[in-house]
Amino acid sequence: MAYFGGIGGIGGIGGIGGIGGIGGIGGIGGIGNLNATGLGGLLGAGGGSATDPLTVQGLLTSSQAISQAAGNSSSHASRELEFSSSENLGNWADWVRGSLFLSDFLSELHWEVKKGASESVVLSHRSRGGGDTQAFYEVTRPDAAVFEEQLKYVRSYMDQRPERTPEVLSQLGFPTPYFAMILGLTTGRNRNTLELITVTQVLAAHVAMIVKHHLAIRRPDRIGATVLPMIPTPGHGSFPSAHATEAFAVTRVLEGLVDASQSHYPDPDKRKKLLGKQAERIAVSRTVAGVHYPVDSWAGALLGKMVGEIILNKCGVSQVMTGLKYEAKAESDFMLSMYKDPDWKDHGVSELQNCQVAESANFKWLWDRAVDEFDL
Amino acid sequence: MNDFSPDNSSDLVAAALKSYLGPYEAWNFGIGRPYAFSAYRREDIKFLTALAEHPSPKTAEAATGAGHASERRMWFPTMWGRSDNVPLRFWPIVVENRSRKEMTLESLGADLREVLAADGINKSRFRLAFPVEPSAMQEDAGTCPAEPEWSPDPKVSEGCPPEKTINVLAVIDDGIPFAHRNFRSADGERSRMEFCWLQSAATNSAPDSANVLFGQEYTRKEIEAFIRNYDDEDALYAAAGASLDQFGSEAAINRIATHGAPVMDIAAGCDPNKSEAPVEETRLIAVQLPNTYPWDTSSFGKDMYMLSAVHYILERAERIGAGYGVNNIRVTINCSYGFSAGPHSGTSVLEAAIDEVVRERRKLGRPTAIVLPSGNTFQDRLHGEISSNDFKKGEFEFTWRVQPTDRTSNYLEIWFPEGLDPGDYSVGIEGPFKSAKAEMRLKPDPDYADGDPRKFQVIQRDKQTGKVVVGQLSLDNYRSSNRWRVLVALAPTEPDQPDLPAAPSGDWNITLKRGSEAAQDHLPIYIWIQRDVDLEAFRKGNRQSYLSDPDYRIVDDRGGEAQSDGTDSHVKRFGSINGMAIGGTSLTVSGCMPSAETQWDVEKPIASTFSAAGKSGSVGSAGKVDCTAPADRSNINPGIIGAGTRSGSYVMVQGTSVAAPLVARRLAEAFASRSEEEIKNAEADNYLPIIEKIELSDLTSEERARLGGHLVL
Repeated sequence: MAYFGGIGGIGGIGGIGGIGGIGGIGGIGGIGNLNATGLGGLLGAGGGSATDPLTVQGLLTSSQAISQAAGNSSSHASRELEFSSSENLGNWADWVRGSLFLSDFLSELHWEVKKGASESVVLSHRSRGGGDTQAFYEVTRPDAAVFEEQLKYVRSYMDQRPERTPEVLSQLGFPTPYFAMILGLTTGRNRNTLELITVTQVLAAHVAMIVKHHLAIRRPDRIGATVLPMIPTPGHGSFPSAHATEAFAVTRVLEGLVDASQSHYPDPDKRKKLLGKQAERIAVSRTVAGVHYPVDSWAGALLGKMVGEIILNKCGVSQVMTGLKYEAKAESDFMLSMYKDPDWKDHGVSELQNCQVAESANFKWLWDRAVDEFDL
Repeated sequence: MNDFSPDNSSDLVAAALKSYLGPYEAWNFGIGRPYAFSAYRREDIKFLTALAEHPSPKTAEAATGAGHASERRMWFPTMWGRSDNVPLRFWPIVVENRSRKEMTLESLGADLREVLAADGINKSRFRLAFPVEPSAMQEDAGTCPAEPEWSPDPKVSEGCPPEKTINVLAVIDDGIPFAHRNFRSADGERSRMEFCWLQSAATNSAPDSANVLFGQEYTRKEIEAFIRNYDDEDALYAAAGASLDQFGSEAAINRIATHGAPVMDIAAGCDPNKSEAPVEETRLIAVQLPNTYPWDTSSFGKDMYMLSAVHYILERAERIGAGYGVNNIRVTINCSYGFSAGPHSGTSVLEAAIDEVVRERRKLGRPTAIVLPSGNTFQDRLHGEISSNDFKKGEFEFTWRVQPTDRTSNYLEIWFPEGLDPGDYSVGIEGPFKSAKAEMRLKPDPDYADGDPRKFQVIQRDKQTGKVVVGQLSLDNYRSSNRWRVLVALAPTEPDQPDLPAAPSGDWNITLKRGSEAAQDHLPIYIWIQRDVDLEAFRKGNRQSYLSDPDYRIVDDRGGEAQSDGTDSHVKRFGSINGMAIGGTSLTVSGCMPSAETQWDVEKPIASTFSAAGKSGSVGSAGKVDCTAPADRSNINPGIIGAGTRSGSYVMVQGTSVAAPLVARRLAEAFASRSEEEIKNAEADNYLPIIEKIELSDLTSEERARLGGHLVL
């Protein structure tokens, strides 16, 4: 029962009902980190453990032997769990919560594919409670020439492969330890925070896959023979980068968490700067590895910001959320120092309307517990 | 592409002879050009560079006048000594390739002849270097760059103790993080670096305010503005143009581990994490060599940039002296750099050029020090020694092992002792399995009256389809100094372009024949192979060739890596010293570590196993180590810890490259505290006497050759 070891990747989501449950919910992208995920870091966390045939046999025989000791008087009146309450989330297995967060998020996500002279994908949010469909992210499909030009950058980052190999290899799955390092997160104290990080990454990955699927951009190694990536090229489109989406979504959520725990860290601004810098490095390391163009990181980082802000709003942290549109420019390298208004205008970023996202009781439940972990 | 084909190769050799160029130039711009680094192969080279050697010293006015006389444009980078009208023989120059067509040896010769017509090309020499990329060139800058807008930092004089003298410490290297926290003052806002020159950065100044001819210069105020405006150092270096590619070579500054970051840190860094108080009285200058720096570890292509860096540092140092009101400002330059071949008598072009400018400045009463590493090739089998008794039946044969999958050219130099005319000698070379063959009598070709006496021949490989050229054999009287040199240049064993002829890999046998009329008793003849390694994983595909000899002992009787030379083998460790570090004005530093045998007593060091040395015996000489400094923490903890490129990062670096900057640091401290008289008296010994150091006693002659008698900590 590999929870986030994820060789099976996203395919595992359908595995509900089978022994071992949802298996791969976290495993998007292949081999993941087995530590510090928060959601099921321990084998079978919250999901029961008696699954091997020998133990099942043993339970059967022991139940036969001992049940007489309970006597056969009538049953007692029992207390019921509360109806439709997020307070019950703590009772459920980790993967069940994961499934609920995912369903909650995706039920409010809509996408529109524009065809014609300018091809683009528009992502929108509409509350389950009703209301407008609000576009929060639009990305146009760049010409092939943009990516040909971008190949130069991919090649110019190649020389950093020896130095970044440990990072590239240990970030094939979710790079949670790289964020945990900055905030000093540990599995004992911060299991809810780690679950929040994992949920954020899973949601970000799902959203990125939708966009990637429609835009269908070929990877650098397919258009440039000398890219020669140092890791196998993943089986999905290049643009936007899911690693960038996930990393910048996590950064946005953790920034919110640092803000909500102001008294915990003496140096919250430094922590937030480091989170952004780490997200940048995670994204750029994928270019170093030879599997992403810098504009993939741009598209992903912007998408990640929006996913992170939706999550914060669902968690009850009210954020003004201004949608973003991205039109990739061939000459753009990806740098954190440009990833802000107004500098990013030079790189093809423009604003859409403001969006409203309603609070979700389930997300709020997880958020409150995560914030509690930073109570001094 | 190129005009190379096996058929016209002899024409190219002829062209090399007509237009006087040295054997490395002849190979890299002639028959070896298809294998040369990409910048030389380009068809659109616009700005050629060279180190020009005039027959006699010229003042700036005379030197630049020659450029005006010609229609072809020529430029000089920042030169020291202009205001004092110091005459110099060695000048770095940039020359326009007006044809804009592919260069040939003939057009190259014409270019150089034309710009220095007033001088008589016949007597001048040129050492060519990497071209300047057009984006980095200030072609409208006029013959000399503008003056920098610079003013002293008033807080320095306030903070400098009265007993300290303000002085200058400069570092020439690559991947230097000029905005690093360790090079700032205690407040973290003021930079201690007064000037920084990035030799290959794209220029972004207007031509009339261009302070350097190529690349980009940043003054202290500009560096401080960068520090203020960018809290992200990645963005800072990008904005400064320090992280751009040049000719497709990545800038090292985007890595954490570079060569220049720890070297500059050991020389001049003060780490706030270690509560080191920044030294205000020592003002810093940094010169970052072009990105092309790692391309050729034989040093070909870089001499011009190195000399330009020395001139720039000294020119700016005078401004610092004037600004802070210090007469005869004392300057220490660290250059952790070198190459393995060369004459090893202090007479290589670069050594002579640096010596000249240092001596001229010392003559004016201005203390000037050059600190260099002794090199890391002690165990690499790059050096051989042929004594007069080794010629059995008038012949000596040795083996040059050339590695497979080597994508760069290989060079082997044979040097005759001073005054030995090899006219009655010949050299023969035979490839593995007799695949290639060449033989040459060591008499200069009389057809070539101009320039140094010399001779060229191609090395051909037999193929079923005919003969193809895979190498070049040459003889020259190096700088007419009566040091005769044979250079064997071989093509890569696996060229980047697979359709080019490859030199066969394996054992190349070289036979030196001594005629009966030649003197039978002479000083040793030396062999040096050029270093050929990919220093920092820049993917150039270098593989090191070496001298192969079954009698050479790699392991000693105790099973350790041998540190001594036996008498059985002509392949030697002693004599492997950095070919650039023999010059009369340089202080040469080896690397050492504490020894387990003395309970790790840091004051009783042994040489780091790679640390190169001069000769230890009484016969012959090839330069010497002056002093030693730590290059390893111990034999199980290799290297020294220094700064990475980003503030707060650390890297481990090993090599004599990290020993030299510590000596430079101690010398700058001595310059800050010693009297004028003490310094003057130490000048002849290149200031070693005033450096704080530990005298090493009871050394064997081998230990003395490796450690030099003093330890600097």
